[in-house]
Amino acid sequence: MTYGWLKFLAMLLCASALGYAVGPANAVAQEKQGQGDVRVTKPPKLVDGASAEYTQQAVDARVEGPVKLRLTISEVGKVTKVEVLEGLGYGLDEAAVRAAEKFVFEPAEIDNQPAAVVLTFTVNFSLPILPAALKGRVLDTETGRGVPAQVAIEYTGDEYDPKPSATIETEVDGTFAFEEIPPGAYKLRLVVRGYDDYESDLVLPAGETSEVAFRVAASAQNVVGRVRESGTRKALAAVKVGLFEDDAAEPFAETFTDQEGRFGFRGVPPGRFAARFQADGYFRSAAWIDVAQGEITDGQFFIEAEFYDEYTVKTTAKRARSEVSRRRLELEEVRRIPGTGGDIVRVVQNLPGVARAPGLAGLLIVRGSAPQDTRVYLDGDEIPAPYHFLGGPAVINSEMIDSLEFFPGNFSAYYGRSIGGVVDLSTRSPNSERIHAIAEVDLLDTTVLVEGPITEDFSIAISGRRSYFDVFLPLLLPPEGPDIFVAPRYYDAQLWLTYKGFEDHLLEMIFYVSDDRVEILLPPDEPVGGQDVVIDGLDFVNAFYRGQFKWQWRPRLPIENDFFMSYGANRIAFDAAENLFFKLDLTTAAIRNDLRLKMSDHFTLRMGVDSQFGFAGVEFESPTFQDQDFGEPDGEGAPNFASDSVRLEERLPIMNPGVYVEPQIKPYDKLLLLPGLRVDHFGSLGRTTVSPRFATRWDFADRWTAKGGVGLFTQAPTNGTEDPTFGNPRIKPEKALQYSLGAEWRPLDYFELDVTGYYRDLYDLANTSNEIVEINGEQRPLFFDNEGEGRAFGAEVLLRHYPQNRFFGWVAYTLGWSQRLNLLTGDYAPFDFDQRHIFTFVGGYNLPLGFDISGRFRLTTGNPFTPIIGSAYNADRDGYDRVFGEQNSAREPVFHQLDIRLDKKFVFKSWLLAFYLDVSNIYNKMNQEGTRYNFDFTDSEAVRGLPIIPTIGVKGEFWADGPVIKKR
Amino acid sequence: MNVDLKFRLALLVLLALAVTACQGRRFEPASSVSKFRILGLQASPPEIRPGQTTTLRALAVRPGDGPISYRWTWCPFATQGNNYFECPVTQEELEAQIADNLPDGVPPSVFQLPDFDLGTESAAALPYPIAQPLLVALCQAIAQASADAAEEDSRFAGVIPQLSCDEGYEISIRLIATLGDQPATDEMLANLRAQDQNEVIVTGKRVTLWIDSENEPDINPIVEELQIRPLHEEDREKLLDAGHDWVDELDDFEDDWHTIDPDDPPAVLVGVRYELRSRVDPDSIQFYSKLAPAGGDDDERYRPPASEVLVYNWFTTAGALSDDESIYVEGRNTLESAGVTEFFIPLTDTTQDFGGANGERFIDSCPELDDADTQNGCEVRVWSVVRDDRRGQGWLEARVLATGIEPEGHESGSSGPDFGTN
Repeated sequence: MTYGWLKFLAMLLCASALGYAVGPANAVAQEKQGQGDVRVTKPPKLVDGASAEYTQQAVDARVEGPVKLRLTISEVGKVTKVEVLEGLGYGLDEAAVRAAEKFVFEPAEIDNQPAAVVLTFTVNFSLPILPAALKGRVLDTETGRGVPAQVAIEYTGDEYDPKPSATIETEVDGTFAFEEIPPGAYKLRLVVRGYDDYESDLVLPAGETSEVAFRVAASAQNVVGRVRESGTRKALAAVKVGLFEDDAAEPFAETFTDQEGRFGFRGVPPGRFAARFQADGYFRSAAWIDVAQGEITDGQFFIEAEFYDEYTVKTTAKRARSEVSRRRLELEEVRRIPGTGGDIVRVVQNLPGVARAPGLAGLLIVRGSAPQDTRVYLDGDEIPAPYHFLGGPAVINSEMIDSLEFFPGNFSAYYGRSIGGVVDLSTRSPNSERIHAIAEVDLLDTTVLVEGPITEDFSIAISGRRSYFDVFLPLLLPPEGPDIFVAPRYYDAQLWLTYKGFEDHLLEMIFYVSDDRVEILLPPDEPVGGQDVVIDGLDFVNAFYRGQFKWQWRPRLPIENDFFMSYGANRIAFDAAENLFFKLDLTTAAIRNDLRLKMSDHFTLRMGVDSQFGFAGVEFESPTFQDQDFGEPDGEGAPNFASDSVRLEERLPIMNPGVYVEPQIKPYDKLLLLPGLRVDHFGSLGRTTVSPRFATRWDFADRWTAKGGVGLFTQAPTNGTEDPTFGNPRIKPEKALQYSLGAEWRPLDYFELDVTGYYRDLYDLANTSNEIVEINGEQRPLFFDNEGEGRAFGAEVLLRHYPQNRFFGWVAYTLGWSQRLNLLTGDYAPFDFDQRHIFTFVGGYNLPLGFDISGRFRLTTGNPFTPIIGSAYNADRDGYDRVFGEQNSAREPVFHQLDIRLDKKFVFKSWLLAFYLDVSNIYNKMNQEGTRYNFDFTDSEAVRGLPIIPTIGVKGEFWADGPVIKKR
Repeated sequence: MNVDLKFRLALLVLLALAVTACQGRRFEPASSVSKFRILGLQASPPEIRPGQTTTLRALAVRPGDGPISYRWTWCPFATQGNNYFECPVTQEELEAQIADNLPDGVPPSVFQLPDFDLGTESAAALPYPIAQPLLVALCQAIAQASADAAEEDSRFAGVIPQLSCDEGYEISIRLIATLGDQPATDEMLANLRAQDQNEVIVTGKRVTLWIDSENEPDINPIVEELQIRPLHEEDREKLLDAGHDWVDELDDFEDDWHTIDPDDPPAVLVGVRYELRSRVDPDSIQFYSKLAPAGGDDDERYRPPASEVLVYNWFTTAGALSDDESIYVEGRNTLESAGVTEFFIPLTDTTQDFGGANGERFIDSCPELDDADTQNGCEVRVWSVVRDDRRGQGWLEARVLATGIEPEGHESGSSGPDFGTN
């Protein structure tokens, strides 16, 4: 800043000196006139003055006043002599003389002639005015932090004209400084955006620097709002919010939303503004805001995401793997695979090593094992019946499933009682932040899910589903048909409770129930059936309930512990006639504890208990079924029951304790060794099995992993085979020796190639037998034995693109053989689900405008079957008995099918509406799923699979605002 | 007991219903007799007591005229249809086996069995093969033999359905019927294929050798007569106009029936629905005590006596039957209602596509229907075969004359879709 007031002060000094100079000159002339007849016709005129300098000595002594001089001016106007008439001392007299000697005058004239004159001249010395300075900082009253502002000062005194004033902008931290300003009284004004205006009167002393802090109070925000994601109402943080005046290019103000999606502007003047929102992954959007004087403009703003349920990686952390083969599927990845009905368990059927199940069946045929050899777990607890009947969906709502892990073989000692594969579903915790609801309606059933927080630590989810076959079926049946009391219908319900109130502990409870039922009563006066059984109707029940309590303990120690216990009961009942029914009631409890002790970076010890307890109640009665054809082509025949009818009513204990230990050894970072040992006791069999297992993974090169495993796996035969009356109490557990060897290559984080070869040796398989044996001196049918043997081998290839770049997908190919020993011939014959080639492609892509498209293509070898080569008329029952050819010597044609699914989301402010069109078998390939015959088996035709079937579904998803519970 | 097996069976039934209900062509129903068929095989009596001989005869039908050949055999075991009811051992092998296991002092001649081959006549006779006490011993010997032999050949054990002879001992009868006058040979049987069944039919049944049951001697159900009447009374005038005078004797359509006279078959009009009734002699339906189920808590060996259950099967050479099988259960329905079925001969059948005939079969089998003269009908054969729950069976054949197109100006009260039998 330039201060012109100092020059102004010097001129003031000169002018003062000139004024004094003229007066005394006249006096000298008048004096000379008095001495003679002299007349001054023109007084001298100062034309070039000079300033007299103040001495420091005088300043220090605060001396000021006039110095009176006598000047002699020559006829040419020069000062030729200076005399001090009255002085001040302190060097001021000399200063006045020095200045006067430099004066130049227009010469005086006497009688019109230039002439020298003498005159008196007074030089007034006034002390100089010293500048003032102001330094300060503008602070927020509340936070104490500096805020940028505009600072203006204006002189309010009378000494300066014009009155000095100045305006400056503070630094970002609110600091400012005014230098060399005229001292005096000032008015200071602060203009701070978003703060109340501030004024203050100041007196700035000369020669001093005033320092002051101004505390300003934030003005109330008069434009506030919250930004949420359209559809989900999720509060969005870090959204850039700009406030623009009409068409202004630059924003009037800008801010970002906080963690709760809130933003605010202070001191927005009245008017119309455009609020513009901008965030990554969201469409840019704007809204008009009218700001009124004295009012707070509040609003909720919804911005739409570019993609919902986007196929992208949720976490970049690479999960540690310990098993030889583990396929992990995230819910987002699989919920829209066509042909699966959004059923996460069925998706497993599309992974390598899993044979195609016929029709809609949810069977899991893993690496050549029988469907019942693979177990499905819910958080480690075996699900009594994973699917509803008649090809229905899984009994657990997929929306509450966090992920699915599938182990086709050589799995950890953590899992037991299975010689096939393992599917373990992990549930997610209920939403602990806000209430969320889903309603889904399709052609088969309706599902509703509600979840949300109850308290800060306690959250809950409730889900239910019900089919409506029973509503539509009566409309389709002829009026003279049977009385249907309960048409085929299923429902299921689940309840989740999670408590996170204890540090290092997570407590969860899951309760789930499923009920499938068909009940048909035939007219009592029109009995149907045959000689052996009179059918009253059909009552079929498949129901269970089960509760789980889980406790996860994660102390800040090298210990992890998971405990759970479960209890439940399930009933399978079938009732057709007085002498044809069965009822199986299983009441089981399970206790698991899995402890992992990390001894060092190289050694972790995992051990645990996995036990099942309970009892099975069986009621059963079967008529004679005289002359029924129980023949089976494997040469073993069917159970050799007496020709009398049989009745059974028993209650059998279940006691299957199991323990396991599995050290995890890492000799160095890239090598993992997993020896394991599992001991299972099968109480009903009175047998104990010891199953050693070993698996290893070796990262032998960057992004390359070799893996292998070998182990023994055991399971109890199908329920009832050990029955002391109608089974073989000496039956042994079934066993499988599993070998696998493979490699993984992951050139990109989201791209993986997995090749695994496997061999599976099955033995001690339970097999029906018509053998008669002597037990305790009594001859009796054996019913079942352990003569069954089998083998399965092959190779699997999985080329997988994890969800990334809005795409996911995989190509799975399995080349496999699955065989069972034909005890009649002594040769191995193809197993019922032996499929040499199994090719599956699955993929999904996020399209713009809320569309998603996904597809599945399957190409598999047809299942083998045993041809019927003839028949014989059974005159006792007026039917034909089949004559079989060589076991599984024929094959169904190659199966191939393409399924396409299109999803469309409509995004509303507070909810999402999604439609999907799922077209199964889009090119209507009439694949063969079996063979049907005429009454005497002389004519046959293929049983075709389902034709092209488009299904539609609607799903609404609702989110409540709050209360918002902050996460710990 | 393998309860899961039953569960899976139930599911399979449901699945099969679901899958087959909506797809595929319709096969010719079993009740439609359009080729060489065996419809029944009777042992009279069905249970042989010591000193008795049972007579075996078959209900064999064939299209057109021509001979049918028979070859009868029996087997002292319960043979299986999936093996063409073949006896697992030859007579010589079995006799040798028995001889090896005879107790000391028992001469082999005691166990001399009747010849397995029962001849090639249309009927055969089988006597009670051995003395009753010896049969009990045979039961035990066979059981022991099967236990010994099972290790080597499970098929042998598989043909022994029971260890107890409480309810008698079951033996098997096999009939091989062939078109023509040459009985089946062993070579023919060895190469038998499904398609051969149009000319060769292997049939089996079991016969019980009584041992010590407390029940009355078992007899076959006797089908006394077959009856007919129009289903709808409003068809009465139309039928009378067509000259079907037998309808006139039906005063009460609720209760009256016309008994079909083998010598005077009644005329039936195509496109009109009728009811057929099979009347079984009530005296041939016996009360008997079944063995209590094995494994039950009841101390009683037998259940309380109960009436036999009858199963009615219908067959016809033309037309369709609403129910080709029905049952009679005492206390649940009546003999009068149990053996009733609806019968309908369509003029042209467009709903049935079985056999590729697309309904033409009916016209072909009744060429006279093209004749406007309604008095010239074609002959339609109808059989009722009735079985009880102790392997007894009986049958009766009837004939009706299917006559031509209904007179103009009459609307049939029975128009509508076909029965939909399958």
